[in-house]
Amino acid sequence: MTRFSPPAVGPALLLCLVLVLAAPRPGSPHAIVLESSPVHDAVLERAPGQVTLRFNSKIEKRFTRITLAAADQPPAAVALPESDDPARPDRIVVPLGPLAPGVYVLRYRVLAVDGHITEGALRFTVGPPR
Amino acid sequence: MTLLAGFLDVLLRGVGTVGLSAAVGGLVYVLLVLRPAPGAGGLVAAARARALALIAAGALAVAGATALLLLVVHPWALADEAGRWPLGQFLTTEFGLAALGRLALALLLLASVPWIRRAPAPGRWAVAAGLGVLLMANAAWLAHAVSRLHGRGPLMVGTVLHQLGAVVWVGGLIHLVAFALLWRRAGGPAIEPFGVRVLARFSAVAIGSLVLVLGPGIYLALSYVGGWGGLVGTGYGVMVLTKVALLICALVLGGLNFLILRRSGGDRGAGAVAARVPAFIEAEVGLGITLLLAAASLTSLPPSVDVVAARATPAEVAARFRPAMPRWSSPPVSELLAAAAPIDDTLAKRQPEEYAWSEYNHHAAGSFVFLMGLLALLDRAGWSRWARHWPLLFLGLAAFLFVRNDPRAWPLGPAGFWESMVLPDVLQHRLVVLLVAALGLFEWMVRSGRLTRPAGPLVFPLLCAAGGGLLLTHSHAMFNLKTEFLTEVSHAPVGLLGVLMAWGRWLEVRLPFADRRIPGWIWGACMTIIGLILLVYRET
Repeated sequence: MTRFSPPAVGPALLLCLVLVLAAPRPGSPHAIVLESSPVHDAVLERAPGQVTLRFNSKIEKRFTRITLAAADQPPAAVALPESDDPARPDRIVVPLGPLAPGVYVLRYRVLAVDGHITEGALRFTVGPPR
Repeated sequence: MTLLAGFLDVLLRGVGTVGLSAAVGGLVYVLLVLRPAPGAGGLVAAARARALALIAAGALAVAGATALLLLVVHPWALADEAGRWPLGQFLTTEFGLAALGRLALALLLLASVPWIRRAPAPGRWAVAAGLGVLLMANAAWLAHAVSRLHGRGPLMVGTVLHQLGAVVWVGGLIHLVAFALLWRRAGGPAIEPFGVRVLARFSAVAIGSLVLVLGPGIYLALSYVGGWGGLVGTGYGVMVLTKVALLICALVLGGLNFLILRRSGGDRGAGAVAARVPAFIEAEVGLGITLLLAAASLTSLPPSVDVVAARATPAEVAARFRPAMPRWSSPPVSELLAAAAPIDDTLAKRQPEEYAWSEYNHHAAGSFVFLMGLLALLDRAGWSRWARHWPLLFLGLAAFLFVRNDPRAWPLGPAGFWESMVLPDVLQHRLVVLLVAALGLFEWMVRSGRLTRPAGPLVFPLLCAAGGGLLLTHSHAMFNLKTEFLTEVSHAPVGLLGVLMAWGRWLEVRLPFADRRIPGWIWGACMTIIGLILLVYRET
């Protein structure tokens, strides 16, 4: 029977690979939306003037990024107002312009005060779905 | 980009916590455990030098992980549409300021090591200990608690005390492994009893640190989990349960150490202690590091008390573990590809064909693992020599996973082999296939006498520990919390059994020959149970 011993660096390299693959993975979003207006998958008769998101943790609002996409359209960035209610560190109010009937997906990226970055999406329909 | 940043965030937080353990736990170990003793001056000096090196390595890991998070990962993930990194702005956030503080403290602790080495005066050790205290206090502003809307202060204090207990315990164990290597090498009638006294002193420190882990830990669990519903119906709750199970396993090993020390009759039985205890400490370190990584992963999950609408009921969770006949047929790949939504559609609901495909994969993989577990037990019992070739079944499992893991890619799907390698999940799956094949090959070479290096038998437990840790800390949930939680809820017991299997096999390899029976049976049984869980796995 042929016996052989791999070079000593073999187990070390394998251990490095193990550590990389065993590393913890990103889990669910850390900051989750507890309440939103409109709610996810809402069907609205009229276009909402704004979207409100209430999170389960304090948010560093200046780093919030919002995009809105109509069905089959590329997402467009939505600017947030400079002034915001400091007494509501868990809420983000997104002003919306006039919206034509259709399905919209609002995507958000927020930074929680503890440094976790979260992405999420809210889908709603204005008028009868196209 | 956010997903990758989230992965790096949890990874770097985990590395930072392990580094903090080596650094701060090391300071406690040197000051309370490694005391000078007559006749052991040389060993104490060598052990202190090694402890200082480990403290420096720990401080460096904390500084490096923090710097990467603060200066690279977060600014990159927060870049605007034009790709500009908001570094200056980010440094003024509460997290940015706290992380800057941690970076400075870790660098100061790192710089204090050569300063202490030059003249190890008590005053210099006190300065290092002060830096350790500040590092622990600073952790309050980097944890979950800081972003809570209510009860932030007590939660921050509870977090720091809980972390302090974990860091002193795991850090002390890391340093004990380093000490045990020196101790066993030194040997001799004066040295062996000294080592026993060091271990006994650490037992007292470990009991104190476990009180710190458990007391504030129970308070944090009550605050973040809320009740039984949150414990079994959310990812956060299941991760807390997993941490408790890992802690119990580590406590069993710690208890065994304690009993061996007591039964050794003090200095006279030092030889028996030196032969057994280091292996148990190594396994405890493995469990402890898995615990720290699980804790880092826990910080990325929403607390159970916040997950109300997306919470699963205990009946829904129990239904996922109810035994049922395995699925022995799979939908054709063409049906799957026609039904499944594009991989980047994060709001799409999974289709029945996708569930059926995944369940079949789990059941087939389960039959491989179950068979290997049975053969490993047969081998352990010594009833048949051919059963020792059971690791070769890993090669069959690897081939099955390679073909079935990514139906959109070669050989089943339209994407070519090299074309699909740029997709992160495909790349990760193929690396896992390589690992599974390596696992089987290494263990088969060990068992068939083809691999004779001392490190060879340790490859299998290390890879198992990696696989178990991966499952414990891995979650796909991003948009459909409840559905994804129910899909992945069986990963927790499989991951836990994988970790137990790993350290059971580790003990079988590292303990004296007479003590190998029980860990040998334990890890074989764990592998068989993993196979059974996979065989009854269901996603609907």
